[in-house]
Amino acid sequence: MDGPNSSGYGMAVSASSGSTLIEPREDIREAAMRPVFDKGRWWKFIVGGLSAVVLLGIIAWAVQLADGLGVAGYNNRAFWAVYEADLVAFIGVSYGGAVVSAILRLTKASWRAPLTRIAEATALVTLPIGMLFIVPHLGEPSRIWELVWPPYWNLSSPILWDFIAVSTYLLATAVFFYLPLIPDAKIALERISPEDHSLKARTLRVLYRSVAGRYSGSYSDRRLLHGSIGLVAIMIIPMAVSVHSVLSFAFASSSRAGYLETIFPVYFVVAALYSGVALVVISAALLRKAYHLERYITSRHFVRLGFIIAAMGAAYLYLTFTEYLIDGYSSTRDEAAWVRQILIGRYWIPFWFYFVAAGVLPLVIIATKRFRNTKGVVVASSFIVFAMWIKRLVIVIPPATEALVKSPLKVATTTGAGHLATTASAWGTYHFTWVPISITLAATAAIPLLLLVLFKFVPILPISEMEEMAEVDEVIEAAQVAMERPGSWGGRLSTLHRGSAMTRARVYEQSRRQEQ
Amino acid sequence: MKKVLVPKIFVSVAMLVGLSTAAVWWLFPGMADAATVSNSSVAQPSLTVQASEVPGKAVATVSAVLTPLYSPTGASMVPPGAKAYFYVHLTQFQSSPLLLLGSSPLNSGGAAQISYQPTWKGQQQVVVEVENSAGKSLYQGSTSFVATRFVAPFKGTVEAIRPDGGIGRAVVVALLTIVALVWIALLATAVRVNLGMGMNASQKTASV
Repeated sequence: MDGPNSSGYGMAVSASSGSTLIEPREDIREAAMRPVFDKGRWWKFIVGGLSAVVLLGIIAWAVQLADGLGVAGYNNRAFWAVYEADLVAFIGVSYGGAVVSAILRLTKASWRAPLTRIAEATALVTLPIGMLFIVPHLGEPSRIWELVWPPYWNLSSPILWDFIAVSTYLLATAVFFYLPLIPDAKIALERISPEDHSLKARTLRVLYRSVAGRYSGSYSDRRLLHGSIGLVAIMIIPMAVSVHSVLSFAFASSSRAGYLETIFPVYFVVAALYSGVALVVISAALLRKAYHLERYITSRHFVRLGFIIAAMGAAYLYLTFTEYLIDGYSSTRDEAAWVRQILIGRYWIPFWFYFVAAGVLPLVIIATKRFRNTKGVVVASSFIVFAMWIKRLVIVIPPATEALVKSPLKVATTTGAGHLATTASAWGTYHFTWVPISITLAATAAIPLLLLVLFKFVPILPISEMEEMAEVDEVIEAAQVAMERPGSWGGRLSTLHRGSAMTRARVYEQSRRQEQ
Repeated sequence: MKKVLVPKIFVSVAMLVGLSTAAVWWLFPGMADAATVSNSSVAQPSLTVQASEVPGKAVATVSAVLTPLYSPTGASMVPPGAKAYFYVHLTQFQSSPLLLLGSSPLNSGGAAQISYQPTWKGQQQVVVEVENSAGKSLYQGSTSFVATRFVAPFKGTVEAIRPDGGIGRAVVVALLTIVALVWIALLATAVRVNLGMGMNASQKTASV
């Protein structure tokens, strides 16, 4: 490392450009800004196609507004269905990105760097989409006002606490996305040509200036930033746990068999983390392919994420087993009927599909060395995201369609006296219609759409972080070489083997200066 | 030729008769029902249902009587273990489902009776179904009456039996305070970073 970093490890600023002593890596900067300056036509085609799907969802919602929730397949025997499952699934997948990024930051896993921006962006875009599902779920949009305006708050309603928890988590995710963006905005600003006066260039300049603020890259700035990111990372983990726990309260605090489950809070949290990491894998794979980031997001990243997925998948399988074992063992009348319907009754196909596609298959793929590569992990993740959505349907729909008053309640097919139909059924039926399918597809399309639009303005890779990590890697490499020299300070370094990469690098730099 | 023609005629006539019968049954279902009823009316007893409000009280009495009790051959029309199930049509839902009010075994006179408290004011359509011990529906009947008094359906106070019912307000205040603190901490972090940055920019260099 030549040049300006001779006075210390990455803690000084060059007077001319404001960049840190960490050596600028042109290749990283170019790759990170590639989506911003990319002029490929494919972007317009894909964004156009995804926008059309989103438009279809908006039309479907308009039809539902005009004709009522009945057009979405809802009826008095199936009062909760696909929208509630979508709400849980989409908020769930948002959870993975932020939490994985936070955990990897706190544990100072150096390999995380190229993934953090995509993971945090995925969390940021999926969370509002998930929150929006409460609108079609409530049916009448004016009820949203009663949800958000404190004088109307029903403090004993879990839905209100869901709203409070998710809003808080959205703020945390936004701050968590914003803070690491500050140094990158400073770098990105420098890459816009001063001669470029196009609307896009002017917009980007305003955006980057407002994000970068007074960031200079000085040691104190970096320390402040690192400390703040660490603080938010610490806050976001329990917050994410609370968000999904509270989301499960909407089910667990009811009196219905299948909803009234004390295991639900932890069950929902693990499910969210499981599907969330899978979505990060899919997002990273697609963006890597689209913007040719194979050099930075490597197979190693996918395999390591695959290990996290495997751990979460095994935990989720265990919790699923526990849930049905306990309910099946205690077998009160309602619970026995519900367990039977899921395992061998009318819902056996979706349940066992989940079991195979999101339970067994990903574990087999990741456990098999032959499949443990980028393709294998992406395939496993695709199965997980879809099958976990199916699992959410299995959680939401069966208990909602089970009549609380069973044998006493009969459905009369004719109202004439003396013509009572005796085909009483304890189970209602939910039928999918084009309306919820369109709205769900629109929400799914909105994720890549928002990511593609977001990365037209924001560097896709965390430039500052990656440069820092590259520097640390080089320093560690140099330290390892030095350790092999007789009479070096290597012995001292080896005692710090368990320390973080950053700490080791700093110690090395200090030792080197002392030696000089 | 003749050998072939004769069976053809038979087949044609049979088809014609069949189609005509089907057409008559389809065009005049009432006549067909009447025919069925008249054939079976001797054997089928009817269930007479009566319902009325107890004067001055929010209580209704529903009774059902099966007549005749015996067939012409002297056999009892009420199998052992037969029960009368009393339902009322709920008016709150589109499909008007039937809510079970209660059940009572038929007495030796073929009668059963229950009392119930209407939960809404107005028309009450009551249905009675007699089932054998295997749960098979044997006879049905219905009637309606107007209830002038009713009891509130949700009279009980559920909160009283909740173990955490008494701490609700304190928990709410505590939770909202925590949420407020989290919001403040997050916003303060973002603001602190913004305000704190660039303080040492003039120094341009700093060491560890």
